[in-house]
Amino acid sequence: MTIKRIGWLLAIISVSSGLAFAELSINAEVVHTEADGNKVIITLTPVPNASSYLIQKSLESGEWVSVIETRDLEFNTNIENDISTRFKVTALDVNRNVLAEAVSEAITTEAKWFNIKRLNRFIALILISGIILYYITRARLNKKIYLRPVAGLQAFEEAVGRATEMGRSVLFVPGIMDLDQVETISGLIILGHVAKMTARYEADLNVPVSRSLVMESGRETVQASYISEGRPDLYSQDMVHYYTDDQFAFAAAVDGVMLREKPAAVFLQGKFYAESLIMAETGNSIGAIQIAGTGSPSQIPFFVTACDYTLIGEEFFAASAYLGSDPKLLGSIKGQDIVKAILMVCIGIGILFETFNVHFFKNLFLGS
Amino acid sequence: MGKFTNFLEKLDSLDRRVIFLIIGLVVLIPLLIPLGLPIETTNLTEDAFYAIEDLPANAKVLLSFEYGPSSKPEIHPMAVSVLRHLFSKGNEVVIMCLWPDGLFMANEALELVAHDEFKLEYGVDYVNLGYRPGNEAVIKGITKSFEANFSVDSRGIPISQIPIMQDVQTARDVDFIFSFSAGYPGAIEWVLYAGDPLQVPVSSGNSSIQVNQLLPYVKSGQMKGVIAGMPGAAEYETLLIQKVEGKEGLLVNKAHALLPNFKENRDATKFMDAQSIAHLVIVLFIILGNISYFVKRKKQQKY
Amino acid sequence: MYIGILGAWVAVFLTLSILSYLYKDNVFYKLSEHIFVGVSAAHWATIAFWNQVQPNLFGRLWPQAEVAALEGFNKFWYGIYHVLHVLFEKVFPEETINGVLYRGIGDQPQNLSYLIAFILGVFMLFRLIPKIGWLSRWSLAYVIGMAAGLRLYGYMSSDVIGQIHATMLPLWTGNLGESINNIILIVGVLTGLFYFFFSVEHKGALKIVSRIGIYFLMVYFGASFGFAVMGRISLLIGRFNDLIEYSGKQYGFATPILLLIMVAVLILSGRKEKKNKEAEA
Repeated sequence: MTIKRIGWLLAIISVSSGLAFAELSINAEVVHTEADGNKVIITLTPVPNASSYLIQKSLESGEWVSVIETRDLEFNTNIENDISTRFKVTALDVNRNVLAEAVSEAITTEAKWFNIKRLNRFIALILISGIILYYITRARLNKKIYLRPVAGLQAFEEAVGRATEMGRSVLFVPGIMDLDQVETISGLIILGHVAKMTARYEADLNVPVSRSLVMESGRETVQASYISEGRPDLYSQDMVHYYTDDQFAFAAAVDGVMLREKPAAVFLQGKFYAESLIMAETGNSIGAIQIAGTGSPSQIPFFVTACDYTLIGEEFFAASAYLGSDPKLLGSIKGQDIVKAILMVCIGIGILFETFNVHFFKNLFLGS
Repeated sequence: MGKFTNFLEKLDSLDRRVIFLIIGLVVLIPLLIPLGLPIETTNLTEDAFYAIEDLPANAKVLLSFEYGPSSKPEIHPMAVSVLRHLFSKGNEVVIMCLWPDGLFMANEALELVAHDEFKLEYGVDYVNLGYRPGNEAVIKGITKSFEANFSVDSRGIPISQIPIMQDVQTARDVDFIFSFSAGYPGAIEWVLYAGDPLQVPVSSGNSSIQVNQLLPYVKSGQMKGVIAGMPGAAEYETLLIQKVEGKEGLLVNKAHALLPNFKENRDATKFMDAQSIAHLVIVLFIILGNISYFVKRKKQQKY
Repeated sequence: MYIGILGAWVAVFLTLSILSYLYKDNVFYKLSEHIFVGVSAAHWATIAFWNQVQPNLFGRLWPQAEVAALEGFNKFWYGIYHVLHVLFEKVFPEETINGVLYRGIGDQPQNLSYLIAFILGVFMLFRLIPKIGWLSRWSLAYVIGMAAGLRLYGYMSSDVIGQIHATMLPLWTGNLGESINNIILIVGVLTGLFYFFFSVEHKGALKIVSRIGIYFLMVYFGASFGFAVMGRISLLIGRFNDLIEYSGKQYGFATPILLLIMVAVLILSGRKEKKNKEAEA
């Protein structure tokens, strides 16, 4: 929904002067070379004996306000779009006597609707979204989609079953971040599947969270799972409970729960930061079967070392498609695979061209 | 040989508290009896240092504080060193915080460097805009307007009345962005929402754990070097002292007078002995642990 | 002075309490854990309200304005503020400066579009009323949709296209070392990407490619682990440094005294536990 603020302007204010009362000439030129800006570059021609230049700009009221006093002959400033603005340059000597003064013509910048420099990004976005949507549609039309087996996913049911046999609880941590992180959403989808299993096996489920919004969504998810398994009587709101937003305080609280309740199965599924190792290490020390999943690359190593199974990066996002059979998720996985294949081909072509010192292809991916 | 094999086997089932105790001791002893091990600088830190070093005298630098007390030992020494570096060159500094605790960290660093050491004027040489909630939305916001996001600074002064902010209306108007980051939001968000779209150079000082994730951005040029954890901070301290001692590049007069102070108060360098010895012991543990694992496996295969 | 010493004692006590967890779960750890959770929950709630809701929501709806100068809609609008002021004086302050009455919070420009955020926030509170609790889903939908929109371009531009651009490297640059580096990087990216292909069976030659990909990932994980250990040791050094500082006379020998007390308590409680177990047996 963001309207790209477009419009860029280059104003060249030439203060041509010689002696104290030299005649000045000013040029103001508008050049739309870059989008997303209302930037003005002011260039001055030097005035002999000037120690500094005071630049002012006009407000809508006609009043002049100071922008900068500088010794530089070129500098940047911004003006508001769609407002006619003029710049006044005053050359001052060491005693602050006015040597010369000049006023630019009125200049106006405007926002543009389309940033041509981002055309490649726009095409890529359309292409990627289009491919994913196409495969989602295909999946909905009951076209079969093959997914290779992922180690760790089969262990979900086994872990919940083991907890039931041992008469201990299942602990599920959906990360420490809010709902604006895709990992949290993925974690909650997986929570839905795990909650179905705990409802089936009548195992205790404990879900500590560190964000209020996640608590609300978590409660809805778990409740929906218990209802869909026909066991609303087993559901209680307290299954999903909030501790604190603070990262390490939350880790300390979860550690405490692990040490005292000794859950038999621990699921760490979501966005984690430095607390990941603290939790996984404690889970390991109490002998729980641990299944972790995260998209945070820097935390995966700790899960790999301290947990029994780890869903690495995209495996974690794909897990929700594996655990359920929602065509939307299955289709999007296939679509993403195709996008990855296209990107790999692009990289290959780019490498070939670069090896032969031809740069046009790589430059297609330039931009900001 | 048999005894050694037995020892290795026992290592596998060693009480973890013994390991905790050993690590505790190897960290504690060098803190009490410093060894003064030399510090070698690496490319990652040098890239960050020279990116700042190459800025002209009138450059304005935006520093963002995204860490709190829990990561202070790693990142705070970097913040102090980078501030010393910038003020030594006469650069102007605009500070903002995306973590609430970042404000306290920024104030502490400014109190030491800007106020006590360089005796600079608030609002003219530097400003602390304070904390604003909103994570990357704030970064995106300041690419359009500082005033819309920070109507007042951390002292409650309207930013329209702060001299240094007169020609800094958006993030585009700064010459360099440096993020001191311990997580989210942090360095990556600065690259994604300010550095790349505005083409303003970005660098960062990070907790060690994040460094690997940032390397692709450094390799691609989207980020100008990284100060990696406490060792990176120690390297930066070393580079800064070398610069001031050798009178290299831009240097304000005050900087040379402050050299004894820089040498005396360098926390990261002071802690590096403990860090290096602890690393050495951990490497030993890993090697012994692996040998023990393989010995045990070999024995199990025999039966 | 005394506050500083007291602060040092509290800091030392809490640090040692948390570190005592390395020995085993005990009363000191439990106490510090509960203090930590409670204090941080209150700290975050306070920050969220006084840094976000009050200045950024109420402050945008009702920025400070001179009451006498209000007219038209704003007169009515600030009338609502006045009612809120009567009900919650601290949150909605009014002040008189030089005999002139001002209403409102801060000096950010008025922006009534924040009413949408306000309404969505109120919807979240409807959770407490089951009949209309479903309205809170609208707020959640906004949060998720906004985040996806905000991040989509950044990730695609910098992480996807920017990184593809950076991976298009020549296989031969004229410099052997650089060329080898490029080849390693390219093989790593392509095989790593292939490992995350889910709709193709990884068998035969594809299995080898996928295996190479996971080896690259393992190297990355190993390096990350090394960095993490480095970070943890740094943090430990920071805490130890404080403990050393607080063991001095100026802080009343806080560290050694508290350490001795805690060790004594742990030994005594350990013995008691042992006795109890023996009695049970």
